[in-house]
Amino acid sequence: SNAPMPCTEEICAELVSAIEAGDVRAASVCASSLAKQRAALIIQPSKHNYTDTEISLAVVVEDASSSCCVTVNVFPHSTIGALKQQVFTDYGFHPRVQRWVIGQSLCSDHRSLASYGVQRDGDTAFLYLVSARQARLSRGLYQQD
Amino acid sequence: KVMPTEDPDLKRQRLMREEGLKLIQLIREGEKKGVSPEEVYTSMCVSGNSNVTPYDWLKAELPHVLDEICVMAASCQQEPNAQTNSSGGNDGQDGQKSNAVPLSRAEAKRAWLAAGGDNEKAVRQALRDRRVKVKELGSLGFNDVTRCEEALRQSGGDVRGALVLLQRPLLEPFHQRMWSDEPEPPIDINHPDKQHVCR
Amino acid sequence: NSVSVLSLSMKEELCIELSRAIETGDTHAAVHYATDLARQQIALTIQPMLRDTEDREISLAVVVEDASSSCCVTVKIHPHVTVASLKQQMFVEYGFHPRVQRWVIAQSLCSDGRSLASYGIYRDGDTAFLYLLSARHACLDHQQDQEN
Repeated sequence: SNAPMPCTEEICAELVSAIEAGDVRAASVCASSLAKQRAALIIQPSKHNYTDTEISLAVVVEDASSSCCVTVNVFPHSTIGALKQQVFTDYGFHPRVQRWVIGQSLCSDHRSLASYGVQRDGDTAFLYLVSARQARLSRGLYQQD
Repeated sequence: KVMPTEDPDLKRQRLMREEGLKLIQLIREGEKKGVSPEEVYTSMCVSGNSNVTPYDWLKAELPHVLDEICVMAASCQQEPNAQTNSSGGNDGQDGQKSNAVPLSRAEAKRAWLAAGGDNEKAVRQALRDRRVKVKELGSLGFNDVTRCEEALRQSGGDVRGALVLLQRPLLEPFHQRMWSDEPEPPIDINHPDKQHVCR
Repeated sequence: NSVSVLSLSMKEELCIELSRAIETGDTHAAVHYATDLARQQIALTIQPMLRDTEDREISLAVVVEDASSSCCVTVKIHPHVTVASLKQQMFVEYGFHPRVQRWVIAQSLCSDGRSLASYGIYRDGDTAFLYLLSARHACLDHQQDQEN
């Protein structure tokens, strides 16, 4: 039942231009045909919604008992999910044990750093590491992703 | 003690740090009490800045919130077509939506957390999750929608758990044979499946 | 102008809602969110989602057999787990003691220490055979089975 990929891509491109042009009707038609295909897509505001320079983010790493500060270079348009992956690669903490706090928010994977107010060098984010036991307990909750 | 002339950007950075640290402390305390960061944060967002701690709120209020989500979901399930998507197909056979299986608290809680404490969004998400999971079970050969929903309710929305509930009866005969006193199964040389005789 | 009055976080939320609606086939919601986005004339990008294959549970088709019968069930499992933990999972979920289980994947009788992936299991619909020995054969008594 899955339509061939080029077709999906074409509809995606059409949806992008319909939305940008404010063409509600065309956008609806595209969205509905993509939904019928149940296409798995990553949809994001385009990069020019964000400043495109890399910044040095001050990251305070915390767990139940201690805290420590490191610097991580990131693009403000990076998603929290991508940041988790970066920290996993660089420091070995599995994404599932990472909880990011910026300002008053506990961050969601699909959102960008910029959307939580990260703009420039010296901005601070907190990385709380939950115990592996707790990460496993809540694993069922997040396995859909 | 804040200087009136503080650079607005420095002030922003200072606030970012202070507010973050506050949340971190709540999360840390939550972990000691066995409450997940998501629960702490969502309860904080929902309870506003009242002087109730997130943990007290979760204990006192969350069960009511989850019940309310279940009730709201049940009333959505009553309305025909309100939540069914237009993919057609099985809409015909589960047209009698009125005996839809209610949500479990576990499903309501997962949706509530995912929706950031927005009850209406949680209801939509929970019902959508249900539909997707019923479809998945259907694709594995379980086509009785009501039975699948019931299994999902019992497993708290866990597909794997629901699958186990649905499949256990299939494997029950194997248990019986495993412990039966019969030394060997009688060999039926007329069995149509020759391979089967050789086993 | 009225365009882009939404905060970045609200734009991102709309985008994620749209992608979720599309992925779950919820046409009604997809149209709703696409309309919202179009009214705001938001510039966006759409890419196909790359699934992280290593961390995903798959639906393994398991043909359960004993001396006389055969039956097919589906088991949700991560391909990187060992055969021993698959045995444990079958014990917890369906009550078959690990000692009566013999797993066969393609031409191999599986050893406990190896992963399913090492036997070539990696995606939905891959098949494994579970042969169940009689309890007598496995030198198991009922009491032992209950205890474990």
